[in-house]
Amino acid sequence: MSLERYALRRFLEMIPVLFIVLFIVFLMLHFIPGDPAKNILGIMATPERLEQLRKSLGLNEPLHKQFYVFLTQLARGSLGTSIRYKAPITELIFSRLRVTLSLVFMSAVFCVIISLPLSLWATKHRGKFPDYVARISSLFVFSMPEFWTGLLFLNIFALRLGWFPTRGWGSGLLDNIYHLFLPSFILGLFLTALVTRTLRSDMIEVLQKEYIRTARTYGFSDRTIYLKYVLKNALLPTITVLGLNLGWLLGSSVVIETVFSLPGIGAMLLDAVIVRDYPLIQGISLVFALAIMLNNYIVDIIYGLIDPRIYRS
Amino acid sequence: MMNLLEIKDLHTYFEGNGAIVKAVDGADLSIREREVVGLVGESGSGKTTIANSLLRILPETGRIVSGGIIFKGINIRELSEKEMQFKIRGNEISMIFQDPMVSLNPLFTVGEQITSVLKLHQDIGQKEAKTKAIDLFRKVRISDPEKRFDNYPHELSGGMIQRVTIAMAMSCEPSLIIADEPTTALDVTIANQILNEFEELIGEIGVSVLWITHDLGVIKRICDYVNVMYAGTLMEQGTVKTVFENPLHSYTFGLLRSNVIYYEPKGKIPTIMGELSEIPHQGCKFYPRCPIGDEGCLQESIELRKIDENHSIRCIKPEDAKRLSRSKNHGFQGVC
Ligand SMILES: Nc1ncnc2c1ncn2[C@@H]1O[C@H](COP(=O)(O)OP(=O)(O)OP(=O)(O)O)[C@@H](O)[C@H]1O
Ligand code: SF4
Ligand SMILES: [Mg+2]
Repeated sequence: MSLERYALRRFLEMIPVLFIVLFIVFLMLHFIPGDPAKNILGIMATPERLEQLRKSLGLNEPLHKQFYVFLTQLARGSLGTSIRYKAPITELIFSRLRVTLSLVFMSAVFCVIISLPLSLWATKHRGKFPDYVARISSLFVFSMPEFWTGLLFLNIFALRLGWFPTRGWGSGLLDNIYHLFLPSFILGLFLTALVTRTLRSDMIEVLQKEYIRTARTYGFSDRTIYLKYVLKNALLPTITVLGLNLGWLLGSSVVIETVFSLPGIGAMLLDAVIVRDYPLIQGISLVFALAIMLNNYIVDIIYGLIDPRIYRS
Repeated sequence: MMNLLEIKDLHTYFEGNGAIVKAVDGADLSIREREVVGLVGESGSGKTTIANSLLRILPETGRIVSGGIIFKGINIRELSEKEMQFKIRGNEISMIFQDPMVSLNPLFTVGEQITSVLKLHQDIGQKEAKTKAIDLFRKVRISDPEKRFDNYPHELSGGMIQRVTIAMAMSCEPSLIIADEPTTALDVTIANQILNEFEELIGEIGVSVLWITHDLGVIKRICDYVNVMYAGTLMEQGTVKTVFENPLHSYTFGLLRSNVIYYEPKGKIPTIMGELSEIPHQGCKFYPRCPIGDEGCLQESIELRKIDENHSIRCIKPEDAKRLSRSKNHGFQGVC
């Protein structure tokens, strides 16, 4: 099988999963105990208003019909209207998605530029000082919840030292990066620690392999051995760990966006939950679910790119 | 004729957990141009450690403590790491390993792996390297070499991969190839086939070979010279003909007799059992397992001495060993 065919097959395999995801998201509104309309409007709502809402959400129709309507609307790019913002949910999500994606992207950048050199350094000097630095700092990071780290960093670097803004997203690319620096650093910390730890132990394992000895025997320098062979062979488990933690990252983005008052999709989700804007919760959940599916797909493809044994057999 | 390689009184130790393992403890060995030299000895006797010392690729805990490794008149121990990488490893001295399935990187095609060695040591581009690699594949009788070039190791059989590593070992026209039990992991037919081909190849390209093995049959078949190693040191060395026909060390005799590495308990003739374990601090290292040893063997350190031009032993009682080998009509012929 070629890589292209493998990619296509994985893609096709996602389609049934997609329908299941859509159905679950659709059902969300109905999972909540009680009358959805009452849940949304609260117990003080008048019967007229309740009826009006039921009608606008199509709650009086049979379930399969509602799902059909949900799908056709979705196909037209509509996720309904937010109760709180009184605006189309797709628009709301798109306007906020940029912030969250930038945040996640920047934290991934932090993660890579810190964990790669750190784990290589720790591996090269395993059992010595650099290794202890890497291991103890990882342990330290693991023991701190991100809302706490968030508040701590906010307090020190933004409030006291005044190096960074305390809230918001700014305007213009550089300003955005400046505003995202602290939050994405904190969001990236946990992943950085995780990746450093995984990569370190996997690289140490790979170093014992016969094929690394072969490379050394044939005159490859340490540099080539580490960067070309050890890293590549150790990357798969790390990517698995990263892939599995995207859900965690999204969850944490909710916290970090709230702490730093960033206008991202995570903060909006929290808002929506507080005001019981169920259609909006539904829309954001769908985006998160799709993000995780897409992430898994990408992880699969990267797997194939790194290790051809995955599709060539 | 000058020796291509001369190892003199080499000591390589491993340190860890406060203990010192004297893996190589006074080894002498030489290889001449175009000569195929066998190194035989039971597991743990230090054969691989000699090879690793030679290329200076010892594990971190290992260290060459003393001795000389003179290759083409240059002391390998005095070369810088860079010189080792660019001049020696893969270029002047290359290696074939025991388990072909794990000795190549699973994430790169065999073509990529051999061309990267070629490009590392020779000033050539990808295209030329590929042509060369495919020629080499053809030389080691890999069928359909163009196609194999793009295969990953897991897509090839053990025998095929061993051919790839042989091609890789020959790729930069080395003066010495170290073969560390390269056929042990293969099934007998394939091993035989590869052995035949390898023998033919080395004759063709005129390279020296250090062949490490447990298998005396293989030594007899392809080697000119044999070194018998025990507990980090050489017990007997000489041309294959002399050593096989006229072994003068009781350890060699034991090896030849059984072609299996373990023997019966001391006292019961003809040789001893036990493992490579307790080594006397002084005197002959083989004493605890030697059927003919006595107190005299523990008195002084025993040197490797020349019996004649092509034969050396480290034993003070060669006459007794000779008698031992004659007393029982075991005949080594049946073994090898
Ligand atoms: N990395 C290491 N750390 C500590 N001791 C080691 C290490 N490698 C080898 N040794 C010890 O050195 C001695 C010689 O090992 P070596 O691998 O050279 O033997 P060998 O003759 O090649 O054996 P085999 O036939 O099993 O391959 C053994 O006692 C072994 O336990
Ligand atoms: S020196 Fe003594 S103990 Fe050693 S091999 Fe010779 S006879 Fe045996
Ligand atoms: Mg060995």
